[in-house]
Amino acid sequence: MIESHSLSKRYGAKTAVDDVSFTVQPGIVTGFLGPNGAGKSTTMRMIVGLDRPSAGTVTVNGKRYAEHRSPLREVGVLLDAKAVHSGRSAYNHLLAMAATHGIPKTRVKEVIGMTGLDAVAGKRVGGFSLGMGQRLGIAAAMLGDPHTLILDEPVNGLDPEGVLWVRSFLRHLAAEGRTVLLSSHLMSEMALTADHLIVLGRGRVVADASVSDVVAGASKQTVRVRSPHADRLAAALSGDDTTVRRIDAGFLEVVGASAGQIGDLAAELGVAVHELTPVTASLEDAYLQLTETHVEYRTAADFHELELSR
Amino acid sequence: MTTLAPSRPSFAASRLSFAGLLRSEWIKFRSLRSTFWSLVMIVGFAALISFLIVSEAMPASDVALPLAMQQDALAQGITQSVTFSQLIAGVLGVLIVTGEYSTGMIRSTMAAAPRRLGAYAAKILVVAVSIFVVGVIASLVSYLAVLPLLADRGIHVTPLDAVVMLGVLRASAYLALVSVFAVGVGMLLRSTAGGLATVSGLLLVLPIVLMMIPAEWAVNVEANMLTSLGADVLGLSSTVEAGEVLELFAKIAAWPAAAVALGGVVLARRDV
Repeated sequence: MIESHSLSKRYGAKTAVDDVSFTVQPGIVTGFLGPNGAGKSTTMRMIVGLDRPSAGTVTVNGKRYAEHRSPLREVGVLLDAKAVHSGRSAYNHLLAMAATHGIPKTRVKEVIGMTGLDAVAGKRVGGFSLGMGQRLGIAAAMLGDPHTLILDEPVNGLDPEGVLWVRSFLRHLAAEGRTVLLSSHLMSEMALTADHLIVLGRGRVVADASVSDVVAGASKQTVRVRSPHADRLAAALSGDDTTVRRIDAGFLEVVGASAGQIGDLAAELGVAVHELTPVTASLEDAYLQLTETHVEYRTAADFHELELSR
Repeated sequence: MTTLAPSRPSFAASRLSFAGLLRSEWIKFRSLRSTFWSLVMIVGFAALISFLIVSEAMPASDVALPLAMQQDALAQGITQSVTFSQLIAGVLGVLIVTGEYSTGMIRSTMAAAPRRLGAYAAKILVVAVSIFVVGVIASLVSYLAVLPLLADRGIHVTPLDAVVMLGVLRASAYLALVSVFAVGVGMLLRSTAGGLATVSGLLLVLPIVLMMIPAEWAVNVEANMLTSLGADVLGLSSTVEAGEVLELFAKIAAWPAAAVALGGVVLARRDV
């Protein structure tokens, strides 16, 4: 179990992680979801003590990571497929990692077999593809047969077979009662792998619920509106429960109001409406809605950022 | 690809230990080609330079020299290459650390040893002992390289002579201390370019600059630079007293001690 209490990380004036609290339960796969720069990797680095929190605490099974007598047996971590010296062979890398904890060579060979690296184990890591690097990272994370696994973007760069393997592998580990936390910026990947989601946006937790709840909760109906006076309509529409996304000049996406309500409002304002289309939200939409609420409809600059972040 | 983790591992009792960290750092040290070639260069260089020194700079002599002169000549002949190989030891010390930062390996290292300073201490020990041993080996290989020349120059002692061996051990210890200094600088700066510039600047450039300044303070500072103290070590004669050697090594050790301490503070405080 991973418990984070009011975890914050500031780099100078920039706040990467802002008062984040959550619990990652054993026995299920928990997905850490958020756009790039949302603070997922920073939070994961703080869990294993590579980054010091500016405030707050995070514990693994009741203790700070560094206080465990056998960290690799406690937590397996894949932070970055490139956390390996490019001049060393995969086998020697794993051997050196294993040696710190007195983990035997037989286990090194086991994780090499487990991740399908047998053919390239003797080769230098510098020549590895992204997918091979990921497999090596997962092999290193599994060395200590840990109770808790933390994997940052584990399927990044894997071929379809590898993606399937990681998915079933993580589900299997969770079924054994382990704690599994993986991050991704892909909602579709999460929907297939995770049971529970912690969604981060701009360093804050914007959702912490089961996958089905997140999808259901976020699938508010979206209405597409085309109007020559979209700005007036948008200004009148936006409120506490309604968010308006400006797709284009004269083209809006409205969440939180029905087509009927929008049509009535337009009539009241005397604004012409050229299109009024209800759209059912997809998983991706649900995710975008969750992570973009903070930036939506503030300034023109924010809109640009919003478009870029997609 | 289909085999999954065994549910009952055979290594349940394994845990993080300093002995484990030492083994890990040793595996890392020996499994990089750049390390291997640096060490080969130290040995090869030593043989070459010793040969040149003995063949060109030592006068021929039909009769055996007095014992003390034989000991000094041989010890200095087979250790003089340290003047050059200290730069290789410095580069190696920097790269051992900054190579981990530039490749991201340091995150794996510190995730396995989250208290950080243990891994740092293990790294320093592995580098120091390895360089010391390589220094001794380089001197012995140098002896073999100059062996055919020795009799013609009135030298009949071997490195097995205690006085000669002491000279070899002193030179190797100095070489090891230079590499430890470089490890500290690497940890302090975390950058290969910055580390190499700093180490080579302090070893080579600054002493020359200081020599060109006609002031007493510059002379005093120059005398306490690592390379100057190293030259003193290599020039020690067989009649030197233990107290003098200790005093000299205390001055030398101040350099690696300061670098290692500063590097340690940075490692403990900053994010990896």
